[in-house]
Amino acid sequence: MDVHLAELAVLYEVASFNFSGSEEELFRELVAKASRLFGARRIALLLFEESARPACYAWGFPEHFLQEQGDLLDYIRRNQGSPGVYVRDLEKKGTPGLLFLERKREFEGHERRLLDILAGRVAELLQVYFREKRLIYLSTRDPLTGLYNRAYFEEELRRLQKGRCFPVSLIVCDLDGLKVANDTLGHKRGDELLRRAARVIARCVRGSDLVARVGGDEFAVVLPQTDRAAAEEVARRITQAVEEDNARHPEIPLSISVGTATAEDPGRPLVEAYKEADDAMYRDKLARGAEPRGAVVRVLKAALAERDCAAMGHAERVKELACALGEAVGLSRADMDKLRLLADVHDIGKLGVPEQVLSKTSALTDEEWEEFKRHPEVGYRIALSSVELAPVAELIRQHHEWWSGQGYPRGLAGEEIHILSRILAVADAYDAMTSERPPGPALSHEDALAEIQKRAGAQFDPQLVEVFIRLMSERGPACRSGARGQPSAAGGSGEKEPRPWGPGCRPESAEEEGVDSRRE
Amino acid sequence: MKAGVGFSCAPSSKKAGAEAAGKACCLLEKPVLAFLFSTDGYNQEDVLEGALSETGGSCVVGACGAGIVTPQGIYREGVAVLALGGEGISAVTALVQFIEGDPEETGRRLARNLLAKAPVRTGTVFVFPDGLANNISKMLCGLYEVLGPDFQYVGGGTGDNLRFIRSYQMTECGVSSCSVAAALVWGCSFGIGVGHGWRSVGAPLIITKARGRVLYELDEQPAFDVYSCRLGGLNPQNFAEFGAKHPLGIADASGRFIIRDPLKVLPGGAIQLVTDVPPKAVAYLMTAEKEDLLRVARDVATAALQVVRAPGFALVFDCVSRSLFLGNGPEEVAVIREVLGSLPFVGFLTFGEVAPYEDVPLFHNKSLVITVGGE
Repeated sequence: MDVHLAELAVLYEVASFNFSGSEEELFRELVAKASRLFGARRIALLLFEESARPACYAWGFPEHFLQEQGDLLDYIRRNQGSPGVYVRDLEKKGTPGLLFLERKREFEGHERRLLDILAGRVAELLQVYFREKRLIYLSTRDPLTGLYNRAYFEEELRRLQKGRCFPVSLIVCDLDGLKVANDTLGHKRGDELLRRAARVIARCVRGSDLVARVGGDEFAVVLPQTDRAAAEEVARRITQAVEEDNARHPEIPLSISVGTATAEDPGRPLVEAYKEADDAMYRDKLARGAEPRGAVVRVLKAALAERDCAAMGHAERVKELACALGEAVGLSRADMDKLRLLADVHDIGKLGVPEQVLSKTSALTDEEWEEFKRHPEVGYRIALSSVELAPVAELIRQHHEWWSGQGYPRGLAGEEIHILSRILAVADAYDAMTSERPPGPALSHEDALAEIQKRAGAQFDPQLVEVFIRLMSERGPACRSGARGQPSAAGGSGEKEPRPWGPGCRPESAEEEGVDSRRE
Repeated sequence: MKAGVGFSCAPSSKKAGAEAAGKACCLLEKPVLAFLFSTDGYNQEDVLEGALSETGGSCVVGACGAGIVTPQGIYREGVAVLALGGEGISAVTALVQFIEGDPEETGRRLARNLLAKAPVRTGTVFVFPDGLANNISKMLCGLYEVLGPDFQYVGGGTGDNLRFIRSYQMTECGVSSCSVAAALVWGCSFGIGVGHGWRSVGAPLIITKARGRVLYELDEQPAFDVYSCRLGGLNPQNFAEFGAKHPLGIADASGRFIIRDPLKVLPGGAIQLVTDVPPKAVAYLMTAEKEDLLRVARDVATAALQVVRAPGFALVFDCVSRSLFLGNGPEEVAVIREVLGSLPFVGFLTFGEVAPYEDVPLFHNKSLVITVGGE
């Protein structure tokens, strides 16, 4: 046949080259055409889309051949320029990739022209394909976790409802304390928690199951052909996987509440089963009670430790002192519980204080001091945003109020200040005074008690101070661990002026006004 | 390298197999591989059993065809064996069932089976797929994917006596249908010739809709309407006659045609072909005279012969429709014999032929493939 007529025929085939489906299908079509039309004996398509490692599709390269020749890309580069080799960079046509064809005989001029058209067509098709794939991905996936989104989850429920995959089980998982993590650690860390939760859940299910992020902190797992017992086993695996993950990431532990439900047959709407699983998840959350709160507290402590290294161990020590004082004054069990929580999170408002203020080792300026004084108010707002912490929000706000009414933020006085906040104020002050914090050394146990005694009726509730001093005199110096804040054994420190406690130092003027016990 | 051939048209299947194999093996000390070709009037299991009784435990690869090609002519019934042996020649065989809906995997599996028995890097693969199967081209694509261009590929589609019902493939392990039988041979050189002799007539036709072996549309019209119109109006009842004379040819970039053989008209005006046809391709109506086919037979035999330094034997895979086109006459075999001289050869009438135009195995129709083996 006349070669020009053949060229026209091949041109039509090349220009009408199409595919519907996957990259693999496109490559199969490409192989069928390039081997038949051009006699290509080796064909490769390398795609650099969305990955550092290219997706390689190769034909005519037996296993042993590549083992001997090395990397496919190296082989292509080595042979580029040979008469029987055609290589085309698809990037010029908008698709990051490479097309490679090889045959024994030289490719003639008209064949190279046709191959240019074929390569262009392949690049165009791939561009459209990747765009469609991306759109499909975006419309069905949650961009943060990569899991399916709610729309896809609901569509899947509708599809399964009509199918023959019953029994269908559903698991609802809720990430506890996400809001607090977002508010305190920032959304970036909150997102990390979500991704961790997604990974943990996805690891526990089969490839045929579907995991979706169906809400801000809520995940759902669809388990086709799974009865109740098997679903409960998956839920147990998830809980166990969370614990294992927490062992690897003790700094910010995950806490996930889990609920399951099963639709045994198509007679039961899957949306109803979903509702049941959701209810079961809430029951689990309530049943575990303190655990979600514990997760929130751990998150907050982790956040605070990141911001205020000087306060390491502070909350634990304050909790011990405050509880001792609380027991001594005969607090109820419920109040003691609240006091423990308050001690854990009383400083969370410091998350809203600029880092340079918290970490400053010299005296604070007026502006910095004002900034620092906002932390009870900020803590109050953070606590209010969490179901677990809301009961102590007001107590947080009051923990820097003075008995005399000269404290902050609202200048409450006497019994206007909640007793738990008053207890905490004493314990907090004692720990701060006896802690090694910039800019100077810690006070001795005796000096600290003397300083507290001095401030009874002004800064502190005098009755509480009395009990505290009696208690502390019996107990002796508070026990500490770690390198920081060892109490001074020497009595010399008692001769010193009372030192500022807590991070940063208030300016001279503020101290003179008697607003706080911090001073140079 | 030594080769022996034998032919028998004994009415007993077992006897025919034994006679043909006995003649082929009698001069060989220890045959390595026996090619066994049979026709569908025989009981294939018995043919194989008879042959195995004479091949002395050698590998056997076999195919049932629409006729047997021997230097004496083409036989509609008979059994032929070509036995191969000698120092340095080795062979393994495999028989794989076509995997429903996945012809490529069928080819890959066949290749892996061969390599599992013989981890060699080069050789010649004799492939005998069921000629009635779909997507044989894709099966070859899968076979090549695993073995690659360092192997040669040659063979033919198995068939029956034009009843298009059932065909058989075999190895020393047994007889099968809807399968591919293959032998991998190394330690022996092979030259391969392929050609058809058909030439294009008229304007091009666009295959606008096709799937597998069914051609639905040409130029956006029902395929038969367009085909018939090009030939001046056809009665579907006489289609076979015209189809045999006017196949379709699909050109490659070098101007070579791969032929597709129309088989029958389907309801709705679609045309069923013997072999799968690529969609969105350009096809031409083809025509040929007897002389064209005979000329090509000479070219094919010559091409196969000239590659091998010391030819020892030849195998012929000749499309059954060429034989019909040539009126079942002896001319084509005579031409082949003229070129090959005293070289022993056998072959069979195929339903499609396997051979490369360059390196890659293609599935042809209405073509002649000859391979000459030697040192």
